[in-house]
Amino acid sequence: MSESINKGNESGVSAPGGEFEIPVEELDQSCRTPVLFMFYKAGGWLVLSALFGLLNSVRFHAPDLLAHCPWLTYGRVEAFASVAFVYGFALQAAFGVALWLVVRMSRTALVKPGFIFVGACFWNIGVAVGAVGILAGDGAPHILFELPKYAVPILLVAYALMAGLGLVAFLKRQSKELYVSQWFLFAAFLWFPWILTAATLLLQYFPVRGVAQVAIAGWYGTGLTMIVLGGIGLAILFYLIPKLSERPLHSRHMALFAFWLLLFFGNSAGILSGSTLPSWISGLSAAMSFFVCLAAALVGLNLYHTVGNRLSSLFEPEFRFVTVATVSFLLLGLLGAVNAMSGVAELTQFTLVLPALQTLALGGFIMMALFAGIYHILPRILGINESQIGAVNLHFWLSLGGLALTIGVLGLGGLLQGQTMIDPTIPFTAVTKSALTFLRLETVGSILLLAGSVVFMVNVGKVACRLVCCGPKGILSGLTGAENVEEGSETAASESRPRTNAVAPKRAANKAPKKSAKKTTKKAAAPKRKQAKKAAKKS
Amino acid sequence: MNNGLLLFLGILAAMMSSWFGFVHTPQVQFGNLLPERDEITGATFPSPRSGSANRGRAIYRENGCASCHTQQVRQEGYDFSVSVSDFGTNTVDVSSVLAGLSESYTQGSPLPAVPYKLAEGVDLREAEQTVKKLSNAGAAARALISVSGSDIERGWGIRRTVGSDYLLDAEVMLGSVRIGPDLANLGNRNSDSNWHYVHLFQPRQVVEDSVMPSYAYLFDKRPVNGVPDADALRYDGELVTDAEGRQVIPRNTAKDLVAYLLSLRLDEPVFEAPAPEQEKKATPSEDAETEASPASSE
Repeated sequence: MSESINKGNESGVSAPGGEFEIPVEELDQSCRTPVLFMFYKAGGWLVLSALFGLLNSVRFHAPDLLAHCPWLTYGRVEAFASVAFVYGFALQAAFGVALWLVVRMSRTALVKPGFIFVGACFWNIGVAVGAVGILAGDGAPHILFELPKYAVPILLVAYALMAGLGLVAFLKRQSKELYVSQWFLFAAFLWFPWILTAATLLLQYFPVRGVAQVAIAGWYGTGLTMIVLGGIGLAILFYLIPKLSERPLHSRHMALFAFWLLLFFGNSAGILSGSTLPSWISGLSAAMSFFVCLAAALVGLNLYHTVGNRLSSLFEPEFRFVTVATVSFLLLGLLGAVNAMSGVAELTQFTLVLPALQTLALGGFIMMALFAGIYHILPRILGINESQIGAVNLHFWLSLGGLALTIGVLGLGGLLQGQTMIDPTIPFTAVTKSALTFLRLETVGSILLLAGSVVFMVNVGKVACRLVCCGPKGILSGLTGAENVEEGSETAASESRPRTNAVAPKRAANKAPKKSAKKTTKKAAAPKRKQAKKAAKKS
Repeated sequence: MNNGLLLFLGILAAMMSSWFGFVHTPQVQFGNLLPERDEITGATFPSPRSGSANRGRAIYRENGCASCHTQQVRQEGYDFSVSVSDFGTNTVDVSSVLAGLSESYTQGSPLPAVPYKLAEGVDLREAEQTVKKLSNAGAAARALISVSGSDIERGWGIRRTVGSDYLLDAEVMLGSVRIGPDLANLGNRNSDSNWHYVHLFQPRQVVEDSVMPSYAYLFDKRPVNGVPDADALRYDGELVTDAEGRQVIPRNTAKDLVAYLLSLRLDEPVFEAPAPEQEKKATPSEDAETEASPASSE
């Protein structure tokens, strides 16, 4: 069974050309412009978010900074950074990656990519309106749901455009088999509008009374992290790990079990914020954390067996982001369960452990998985070599360093803070003082993250420039449909395009010693591509 | 799992179950709670905020104060003790009962002064049995409740906060991280509005190690021409000035915000979280002192 799955999954590399009607290049071509646009914009939001995060971190060194500026108070900047990260970067990049994955795995070209482009524009307008609204003082007081109420409808319209066309591609799928990643993507795409609409209506337009708001905000936040972003993150892991290690997924059944565990329990695990809510909520939520931990263990085991005896390849450049994302996900499952235990929860409640876990989820797992996906997709949709994307290594080490430092420092500081907070003989100013050292150290992490996100934006910006430099024809063909195959072909450069001829031999020389395996697969794929080109020319 | 429809139905079921568990059930359980009105005193619980305090709540939300401050108090559990207000006339019986209950008292020695506290830190059952024994001997005694937990001992509240405390707020800002102290009972801890103005303008002037940012934009800065304004900020009898020596006058937004901060009082007795309020007023004991001391630190 697993071999046939592999065929569906690996279609991009090794599927025989005759099986599906549309060649891979044409698929990539069909989603090129909107996906690249989303990645580019996501990079911009990431830089903004990191910048605002750094500003707030600096505040712990200089608390009087910008005291005369009402738009930049600590709370507003915090909410802005969160919205820019979650809605501007993570969701946008996740949609881009997800669209490409849907197209690749369904083996259907994206119809009307222009509408998706418009949808992505609307999305950015929505996030911008929301983010500026927060600075102006219209934000909501809930973690991960800070958006002002007038921003959400714009986001929903944008989402309808993007996801609707993604759904069309999914429904028109050529491959009969549904791969694991497709389950997660499907769940994430159904889940997001549901929880966003529900939370907006119940928190903003027709607010429920009292602390039911807190329960709903917690439900939304965990759903967004675990099912929507987490689902897309896992889809990326389940797609990339078999592909990069060139082995079929170890067990589909295990993946299925983990999928349903996550779906039924992930949305409600870890709602611990508060002793004010009835205790059954945190009790039930804690119990669910253990199921999520089990699901994470299953995912980890499955992926570990998929990699098999090629564990050393985990540290190779193209694998690194995936490895960090997977390890973060496993840690998240484990720490989530540990944090839910009653003795620990009392210690960590209301401390910096909470932002540390959130950074682990949103940064370590989701952001790194998205980077992995983006760096996998970029060369394919642009028909360039992987080595042509700038400083991926620098980006990796900056991000990893920033994340490790931030999570470690916040986690340690949180534990210390918790330990001093439950001792009433220690005055609260001393409690804050004990956490302050760590909050100040975190500035270094913020700087690294900012540097990493700038490198990322430059990386994406540079390849985006390539697309624009291809002239109006390049952009136009990306928007109106997939007709121009030559532009998107991975190997076309060395054969037919004079413009990149100069680079091609050097590139081949660079790659040859290191990646002989990859080269052979490319050689095998080359005849197929030629065929595709011919077919396209005929039509 | 190759059937798209089956997948869809499964996802729908998962969505419904999480909706049912964490949106629907909370809404049914406590989303429909209404403020209660005491028929005798005419007071409502929770007591409504003034208009100024309600505007201040919006300012609290706008500035995201909840990202550093919680408004919820935890407690670990309840302890009980027994307080004797009158030993009655049957000194012989009371003396023998008391000797059986209290280690510090030996039978036959003169009865201690009232109010006398004994059996501290016991559970409700034991406290009630003690009360019964004493009452049977003719003494007037009753069980007292006391709440334990670090938040309570810090003086951040006299009982844990419950859902019905927040019924009148359009947006509930419980917060989740305590970079600053909990504010659920700020109005009870420190009702000096001038302190709050100075603290908002320059936190480090009143709390030495504070990490709170300055909210100077909530204040007007005007040069002093002769005599300072009547509502210019003063602290310890001295005029508070900014870096350029100008006097500092709270704007309406600052006044509203402080009105909100002072309105934060979650100490009304509720059924689901009994508080030792009444007894404390009757017997100012060492508990009251511990409550007061951390409050002065911030």
